[in-house]
Amino acid sequence: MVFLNAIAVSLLSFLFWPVMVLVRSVKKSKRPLKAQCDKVVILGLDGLSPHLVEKYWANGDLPNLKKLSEQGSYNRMKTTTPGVSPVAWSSFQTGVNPGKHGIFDFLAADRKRYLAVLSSVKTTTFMKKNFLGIKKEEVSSTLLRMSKPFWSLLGKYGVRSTVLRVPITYPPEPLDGRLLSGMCVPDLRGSQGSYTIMAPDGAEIQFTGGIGCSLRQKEKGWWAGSIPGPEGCEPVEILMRKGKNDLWEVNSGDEMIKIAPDKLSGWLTVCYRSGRTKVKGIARFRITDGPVVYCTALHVDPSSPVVPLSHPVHYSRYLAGAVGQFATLGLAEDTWALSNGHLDEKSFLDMAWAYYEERRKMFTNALTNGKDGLTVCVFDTSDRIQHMFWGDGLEPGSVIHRMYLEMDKLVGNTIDRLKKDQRLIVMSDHGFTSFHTCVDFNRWLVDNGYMVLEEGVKTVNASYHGVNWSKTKAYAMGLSGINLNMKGREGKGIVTAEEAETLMLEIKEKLLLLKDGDKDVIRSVKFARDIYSGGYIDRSPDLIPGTCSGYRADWGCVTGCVGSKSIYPNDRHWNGDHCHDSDLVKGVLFTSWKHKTAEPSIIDIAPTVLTMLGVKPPGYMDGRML
Amino acid sequence: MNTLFDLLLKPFQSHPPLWGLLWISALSGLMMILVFKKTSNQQAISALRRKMGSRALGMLLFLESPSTVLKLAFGLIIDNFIYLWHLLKPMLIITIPFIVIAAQLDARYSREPLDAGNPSTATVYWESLIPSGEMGTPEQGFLISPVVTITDSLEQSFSFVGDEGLFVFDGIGIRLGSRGPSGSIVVRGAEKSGIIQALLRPWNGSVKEGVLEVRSHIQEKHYIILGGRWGWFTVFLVFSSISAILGAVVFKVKV
Repeated sequence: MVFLNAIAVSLLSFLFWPVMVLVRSVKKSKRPLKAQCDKVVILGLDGLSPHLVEKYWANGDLPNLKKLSEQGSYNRMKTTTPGVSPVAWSSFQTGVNPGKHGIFDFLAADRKRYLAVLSSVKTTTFMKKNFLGIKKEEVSSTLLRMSKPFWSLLGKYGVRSTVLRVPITYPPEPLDGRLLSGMCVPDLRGSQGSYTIMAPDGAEIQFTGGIGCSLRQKEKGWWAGSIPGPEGCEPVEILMRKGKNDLWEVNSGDEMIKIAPDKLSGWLTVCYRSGRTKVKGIARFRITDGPVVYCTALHVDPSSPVVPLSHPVHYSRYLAGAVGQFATLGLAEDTWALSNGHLDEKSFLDMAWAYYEERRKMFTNALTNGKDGLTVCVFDTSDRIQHMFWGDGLEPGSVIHRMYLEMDKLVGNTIDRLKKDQRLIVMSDHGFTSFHTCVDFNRWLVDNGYMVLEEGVKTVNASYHGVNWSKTKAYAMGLSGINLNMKGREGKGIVTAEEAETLMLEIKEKLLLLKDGDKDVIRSVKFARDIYSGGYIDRSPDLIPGTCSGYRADWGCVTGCVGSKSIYPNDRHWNGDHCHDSDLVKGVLFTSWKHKTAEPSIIDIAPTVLTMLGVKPPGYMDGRML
Repeated sequence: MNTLFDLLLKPFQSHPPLWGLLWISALSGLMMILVFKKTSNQQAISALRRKMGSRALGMLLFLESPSTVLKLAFGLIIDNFIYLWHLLKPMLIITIPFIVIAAQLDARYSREPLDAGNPSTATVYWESLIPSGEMGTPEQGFLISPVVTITDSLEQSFSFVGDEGLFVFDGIGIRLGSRGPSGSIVVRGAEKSGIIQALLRPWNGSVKEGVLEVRSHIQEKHYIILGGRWGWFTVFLVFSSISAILGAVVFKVKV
């Protein structure tokens, strides 16, 4: 049957091929510019820092990047303000400033309810009737990134694209080609990734994060634990026992895998049921003495996706078969589990490199099968490892140094696969620096009288509960934003348009004076109206403070908490960051051809690629051709 | 083996033969799928199936590139052979019980019991000498044609009908047919017994002194299902397959 199917599709392909070539040629002939090449490959290495690239070059490392810079060009690349992935990658794909695509941070403010919500995706639940007239709850996700990604413009002229794991592409938008969504793809529970810890009752384990579940001992050495799944589904019982050669057997009912103690397992399929509907996820496990079981977030199964992960929808199924099961969660590397002590450094690195390998295979597959057009792939291993290991040092032999060497190898392999007339761009969305001290902007606002707490309230633990909005003039939300409590805009706003200007200048002046001992904390404070333009500027915070290297917005104030100190040491494993003044965290840009732009910006990539492939960049794009 | 099958069929003794045949078919399908699960590399099969599905999808995804489609089609054909390789070991293991079950079902369900409405023929092969004189009269059943003797090849043939399902002719050591309950063995011949013979040809009785073997042709049985006349093997294949498919779903077996 499969054999016949193969022959039938091959024959159909040959029959339709001339028609498709004709249609594509007609579309391509309408391109307003002469194409400079037939294929462009963009290799995105999230967070690759120019400082480290140059530092390692000085040691004679990173030969492939060096060669690329010598044969083509290398520049430090201006990132967006703020220099965070959702904002920067949105500008990369649209060629516009954040005011035109509407993404200003990981989180956006629900100004009426003073709530932090995900900036790029809106999920709504509604009732839908099926053909029998029976009502059923449906979930719909909408991409909030505005403007158009440049690959959709290429598609209009018959130029096909393969887009892999570019942040802020969930839910996937239709394009002429194939797209696999990246950052912001939720897990099976609808969150951005929550792991599960299972331990026997009474075990000495601190549930500092994730979901805690108890492990029950059963007969014949079996242990059972239930992993909660999506809302409305019964938890799935996982059975475990130590078998031959000290290996743990883990059975989800659908599949069984074996794991060596303290090692991270391969993927195990976990199937939830809601009525007659099956919801399939995949997870990795790690079992330590006790036993204490760590289970990663429940990734949506790419072979049977319950939410659209790709365009066309079967592209994720194709990839799962071609390269094996793979991580689908937007932020797949479990940084929280490492921070909370539920994963050790080795296991975290095993996980990060396993995911890197999955993406490398997908990228290779795309390079092999996509003969022309555009291929984009973003690797975020570089970002996660720098976040978690910056504090361990950057010297040769360090985790970060080894990661840079690996990225260099990836660049070398990519160059080897390209033909002479094909062009390569290697880029990062931002750089990196240290994060040793937290800045609680909400506490600072309270201390300076811009935010007022209710009588008797000293600190706020969640979502501004205890804030007296009738006396509050400003509040901090997200990684880099201060909002004024504007009358008519915020739910309980008090600041009038006339007062706003003076208030912003006052806050800016005071913030710039903020010191940690004798060190400056704030490098710049920018006003949204000065740095952004476009139709979605009203979604942005009013002030964007740019912290100095080492200082970053504290964990709580991002979601509306108020701590007891405005400046305190960051004691988490997450000790590298890029949410600082954007001039401190420029990205890198390598091109396989020489260009003369002295200070390229991330918004220049879209018009450059369009021009190279013969498509005139639309007038609304802010970037210029390199 | 006969005893085992007798035991399995005991609850169906008073029912029409089809019931017993369906029961054994369903049970066999289920057992075979479980044996398949135990003896096959389920993870490899699962991964291969995913890969094959992926290649088929890939051909649709890369329709614009005939070389990619060809590459994927070729890969699919190779995968097909790998799939057959994965099936080889469990199939070889399953073949053994399959043959035994098929032999038992053939012995029990392939022939009509002997009675007056179903005349049959029997041929007796003698070892060295055909006894002289008349053959005599059978103890149960009737001869309906004269005995044809071929001296050169030491054989004697005759037609007969049974009585209440049996034809017994002790004088020459013949006991054919069965009047037992549904699913009991219809004896179709006799030869020197052995373990393999007993397993593969449970329809044979054992020969008496002087007789080399006895062969008989007893009328084939058909079952009326959905208006059609089904042979026992068709019934077995169809219902054991259905049972195996259901078993694969229930026990999550990757085939």
